[in-house]
Amino acid sequence: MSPQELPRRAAIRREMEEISERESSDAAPCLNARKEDAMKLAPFVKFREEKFGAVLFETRSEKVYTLSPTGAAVVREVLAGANGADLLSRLKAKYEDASGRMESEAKAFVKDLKDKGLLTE
Amino acid sequence: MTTATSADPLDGVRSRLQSRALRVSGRVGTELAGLIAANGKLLRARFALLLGEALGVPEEAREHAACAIEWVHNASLLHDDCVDEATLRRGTPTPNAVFGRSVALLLGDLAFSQGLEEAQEISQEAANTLVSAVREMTIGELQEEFLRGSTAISKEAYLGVASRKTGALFEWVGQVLAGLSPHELKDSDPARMGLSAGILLQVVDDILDLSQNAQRLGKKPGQDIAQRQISLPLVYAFEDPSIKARFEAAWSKPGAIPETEIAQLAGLVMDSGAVKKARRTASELLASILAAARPLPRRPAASKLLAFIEAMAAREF
Repeated sequence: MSPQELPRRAAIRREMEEISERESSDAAPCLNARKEDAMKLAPFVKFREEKFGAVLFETRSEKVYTLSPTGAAVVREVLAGANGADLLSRLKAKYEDASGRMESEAKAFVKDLKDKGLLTE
Repeated sequence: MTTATSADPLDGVRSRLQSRALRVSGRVGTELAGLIAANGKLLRARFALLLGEALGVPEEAREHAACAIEWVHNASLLHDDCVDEATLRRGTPTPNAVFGRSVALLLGDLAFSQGLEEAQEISQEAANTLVSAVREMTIGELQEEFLRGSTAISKEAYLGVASRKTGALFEWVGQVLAGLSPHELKDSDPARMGLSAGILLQVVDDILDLSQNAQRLGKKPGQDIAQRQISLPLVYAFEDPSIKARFEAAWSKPGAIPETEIAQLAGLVMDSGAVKKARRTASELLASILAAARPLPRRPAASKLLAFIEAMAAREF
């Protein structure tokens, strides 16, 4: 590698560090799968935190689902090993929800994910 | 008196690999055809055969899946050895060392095309999804290549890269075999089980690169350090700021890292407890695979699969 290429390589490496952190949830279901009651993203469904917000990406159909902030919070908990019973309490422990709006949004979102076959339990 | 014989289930895979290589040997010669079909431990093929059996997939289809995954793996090894400028693989000189980089790259392309043809023997869908798996695998390899020299990677990000680089092919075989199973697979998830097995294989390789000697490994130990390549033990070791600083200093110098310095850095990582932490992660992955395998429909075959995965996790070379 020539000395002139070093800064270019370093810039790509920094970008790759950011990308790999954005794609860091891909292996999470493998570490949480042993929790038998845990909710799981369906196979080939990946979670990505992009600059414009979070998305679910179905790699076979290449469909992309843009998530609301509540949706992203739900998926993060699913990837961390949440089950149907403790998902809402985990969310409430992390986020203010005096109006109960997040709870109802989260319930509707989980139902929607299951209906679309993106989430299994 | 009758003699009981137990045929090695891998014989069928070896025979199919040779047979497909023979088809091109008239065009490229027997030596080069032999190089693309060269097989080592056939870990991926074993995994595919055992998983297919546990899912009740007919023998011929599981052999096609086992061959496809081996062809693509061989292709990636041929290319990897060019990228890493490796001179030894499985204890023998690499094709890039013997014939040069261009020949090895072309052999890799040829091996990849053989894998696609093998997948087409299963179904067009299997070939299509193999293309997606190879895309993910290649993206993982590119990410790894451009993360060389990085000391700023989290464990999760590292495992994510491994899930693409090594896991995607295993995930593919799990998906294909699940689709061929005559059973309803309500509670099992062979694709994710494959993904976990692929990541586990990578983590075990990472650990062996530091903990084994050259004779057992078939290549020089400490290659990840020499190549400035991230690995799980290194990611854990970088949690110690002083070790991270030592690596940053060594990796930022241009040119090859001296053998003595590689040994010193490897010693630092070994003494830091990072290998133990990586082994714990391997155990977590193994537990996840064991849980995923429990609902597989054919119990005796599932037990053989689990024993194989446990042996794969505990292997020393």
